[in-house]
Amino acid sequence: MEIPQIPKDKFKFLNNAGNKEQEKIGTPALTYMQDVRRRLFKNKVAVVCLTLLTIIVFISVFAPIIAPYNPNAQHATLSNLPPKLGNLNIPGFNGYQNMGGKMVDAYAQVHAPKGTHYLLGTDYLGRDLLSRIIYGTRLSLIVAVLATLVDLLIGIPYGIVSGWKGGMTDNVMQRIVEIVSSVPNLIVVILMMIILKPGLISIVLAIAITDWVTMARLIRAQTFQLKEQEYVLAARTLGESSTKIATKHLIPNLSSTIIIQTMFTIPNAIFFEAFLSFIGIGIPAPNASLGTLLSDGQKAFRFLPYQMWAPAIILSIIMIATNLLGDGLRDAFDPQSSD
Amino acid sequence: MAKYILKRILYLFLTLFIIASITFFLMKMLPGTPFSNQNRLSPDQLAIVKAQYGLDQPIFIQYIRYIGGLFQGNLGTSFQFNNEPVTQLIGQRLAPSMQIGAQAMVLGTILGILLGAVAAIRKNSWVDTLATFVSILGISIPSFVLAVLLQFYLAYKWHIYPVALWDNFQSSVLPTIALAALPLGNVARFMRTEMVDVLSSDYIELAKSKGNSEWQVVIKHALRNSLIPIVTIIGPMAVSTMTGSMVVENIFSIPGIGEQFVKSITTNDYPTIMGLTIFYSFLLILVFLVVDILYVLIDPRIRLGNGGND
Amino acid sequence: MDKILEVKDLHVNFATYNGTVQAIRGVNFDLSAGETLAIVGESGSGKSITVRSILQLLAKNADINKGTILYHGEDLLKKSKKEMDNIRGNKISMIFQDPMTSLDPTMTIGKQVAEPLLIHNKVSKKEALGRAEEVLRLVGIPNPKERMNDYPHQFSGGQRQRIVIAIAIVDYPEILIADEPTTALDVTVQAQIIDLLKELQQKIGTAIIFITHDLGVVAGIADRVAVMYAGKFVEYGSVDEVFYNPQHPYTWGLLDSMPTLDTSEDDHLNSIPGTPPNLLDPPKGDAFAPRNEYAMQIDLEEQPPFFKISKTHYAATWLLHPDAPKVTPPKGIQKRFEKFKKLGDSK
Repeated sequence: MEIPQIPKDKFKFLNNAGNKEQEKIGTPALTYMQDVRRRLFKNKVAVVCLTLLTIIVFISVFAPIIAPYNPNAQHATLSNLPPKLGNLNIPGFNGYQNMGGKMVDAYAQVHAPKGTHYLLGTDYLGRDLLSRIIYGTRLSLIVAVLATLVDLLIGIPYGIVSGWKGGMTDNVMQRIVEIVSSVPNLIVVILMMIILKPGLISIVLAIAITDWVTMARLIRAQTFQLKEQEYVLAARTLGESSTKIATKHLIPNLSSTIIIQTMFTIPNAIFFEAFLSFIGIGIPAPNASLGTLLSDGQKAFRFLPYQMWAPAIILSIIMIATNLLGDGLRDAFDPQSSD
Repeated sequence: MAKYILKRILYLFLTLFIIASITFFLMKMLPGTPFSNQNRLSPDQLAIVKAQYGLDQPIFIQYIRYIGGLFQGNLGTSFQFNNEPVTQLIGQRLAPSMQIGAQAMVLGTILGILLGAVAAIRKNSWVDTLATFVSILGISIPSFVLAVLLQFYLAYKWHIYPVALWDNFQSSVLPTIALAALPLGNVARFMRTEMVDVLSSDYIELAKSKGNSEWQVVIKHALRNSLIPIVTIIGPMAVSTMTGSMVVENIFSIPGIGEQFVKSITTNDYPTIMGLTIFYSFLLILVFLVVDILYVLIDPRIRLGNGGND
Repeated sequence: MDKILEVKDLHVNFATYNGTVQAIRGVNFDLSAGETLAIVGESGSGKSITVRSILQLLAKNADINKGTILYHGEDLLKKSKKEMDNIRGNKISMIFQDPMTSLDPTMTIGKQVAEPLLIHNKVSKKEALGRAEEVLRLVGIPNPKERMNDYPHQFSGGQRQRIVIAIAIVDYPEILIADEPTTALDVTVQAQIIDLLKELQQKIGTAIIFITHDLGVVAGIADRVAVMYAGKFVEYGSVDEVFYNPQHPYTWGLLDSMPTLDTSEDDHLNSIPGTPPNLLDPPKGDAFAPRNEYAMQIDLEEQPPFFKISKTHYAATWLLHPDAPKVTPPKGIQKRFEKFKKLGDSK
């Protein structure tokens, strides 16, 4: 083998012994939450969903300002008008309607005052559909958020107590959970709806009464694990109170489970509201929710499809976005789950 | 094993008893009866009708009678619908519901398994993206929205299938598709996760090192191991299919028990609501029981769980 | 001896989110029929990737971008998928690290052991199962006939590794790759598995490539040893040469961190400071330089070539350059040198 010629001075020792540099960690450590946020924002699908949901929530919150009309104001003469977008002549949004094979300006036919235009048309009582959809989305979201809150308020303490106490308490609490969960969800919800007076609070209660079980189960399982963690043991040894341990150590560590589960509870609640309203035992008239709008739309769908398309699209977007955001959050909290 | 099944069957009846009791008392708490809605009956007539249904007895007696009836397979008599016994009502309407429910679950499961498996095998490719998209749509779009759209386009506009009719297989296609979307989405997602997990496991690598081709590995080792856990989602799938069937049957005018249930709710037909509630609960608890037994039978790790040497 | 496998200038890259990781950066070695070659290195040094490249069992993001792997003179890297399938489990087979997860949990072990036979040979199921039973007996599973129908979870860890070995040898492979086969096992079981491998090697005459991070295991089984660091071999030679006449400072570090029978209470075990380099951006010079007590200016600038110590012993360190200053290795290594002298004298 050839031995390469190397200048003599290159064989000087670097004096690496005792060099502590190499033990240093190069990049600054990210906190867990920073890391989660970074991973979430790297996920394009999740960002798009988050943006869509933010816009929908924003519009719902400011519905009274944004909605162009009173959602419950009826105009008998202006019923079932097709969508019209200003004076722009876009097919499908120009106020024309197929009548007996001919496209007719529906607005002119009913002698609507000049300049009248409904972006998404009107329903059979002449109510502005856009405003109804904005208010309907608002109501559906309120139901979902309230149901989720009740769900959290019951599920988290129940799960923590059950998991933390263990033993007999846990045993009894778990039997209760088993019985509640062995009755089909929908049947409990429907029975509740029959017994309670139809309305917002009833729907929220009916949904929450079945939904908290899943949350309680997850939280209990996690609490069981956390209880055995060294830092929790240390806190107990140091005599911290149970409440303090729960708020300082347990809740922060349960947060990922709670957030992810919430993202799956919300679409579930939205679905149930829509379902109940669709079969006619949900939100009572004249108030609109996505479910009642779909129910009304379905009745007229054959002739006036636009009345169903809009609520169907909004409902689907909310469902898809929350589901995908839930997936994104799960991947962000637990990077192993994705690959 | 026999002991386990026996215990589960006992639990089944216990749960049903609790459900029946709760339903009964909830219904009794209701302020109105279907007759008070009609306002046409004089007090005398009302008393006669009440006696006819045994509603003049003290609640406790009514309860004993009802539960006693349950043990004889009697779910009471409908207030509406020609005073038919509820059992008979269910009996007549069970077949269509079962048919579309079973068709939807089988279709959704098979397509979901295929979709999920292909997505996992071609992970991160366009096939995977497409499969993910399809399954998210299946999960997100409520069955009743899908049903209305299918009805409008495939039946009303393009006349491929009947709009709302119940006679032959042809008429069950659209409701089946509407109901199959959710199980399809759920199974595909579940299958993909399981299969990705399995495909990255050590025993798959060992299977490759034996000289199995990519497809042999999938068929001989990956599929079986990812399919076993699918059994666990059959229960929840039955629940969601039942939920969906209530509106889907309504939309397509299928004479099934789902449609009956919704009709009973809107007409305050309490005996039918109670009867169907108990029947649905029975059906679902039975499904869960069968699934659990099935799982024990097909997973060798559970079946022989106590024979390990570790 | 007959060289059945020659790996030449092997380079493997991994595409990751953060960039390309140069996991293997030019590895050369050969294997003769029936011999045992041990590849030693810490986790992440690329030993596993090296052997997986031979069977092309790498992750999807891996790319063997340079080099040849000659099996009886034919380049495995140029073989079709189907041709590779015919080699795997038949000519070259592999034993995996974790016996608890290496077996298909839902298939009886009889079928799993018989599977390679059914893939590669025209035999009936019955014949294959008969062979499987024989091999299970050979690897020391008691009552193989009855236990053929059992599932993996019904066996202990040591037994499962015996089953994994049975799968690997059932078709009498020419080369057996053992990727840390004892790491996940108890120490007593480790020794049994090593003995089993040696015994099987004698019976069926297979060559073994033995991967481990544990030098202590190597002495009992290997004919030759290669030490790997940061995707390259740094020293290779016969067992005696590497153990008792090590020349690379990294080998010194490894040997010095291993307790031996001679280690007295006063001696303390040394560890190698620092961590291996980031192979996303491998250093220009010797990858070991930052952790090397004896590093020189040249180590930072240029990668050392292999210097020949004997006909079978090579090491890649600039310390072996004739112009390099003489260094005194650690005490434990000096003791080894003495032993090596005695070995030489006694021969």
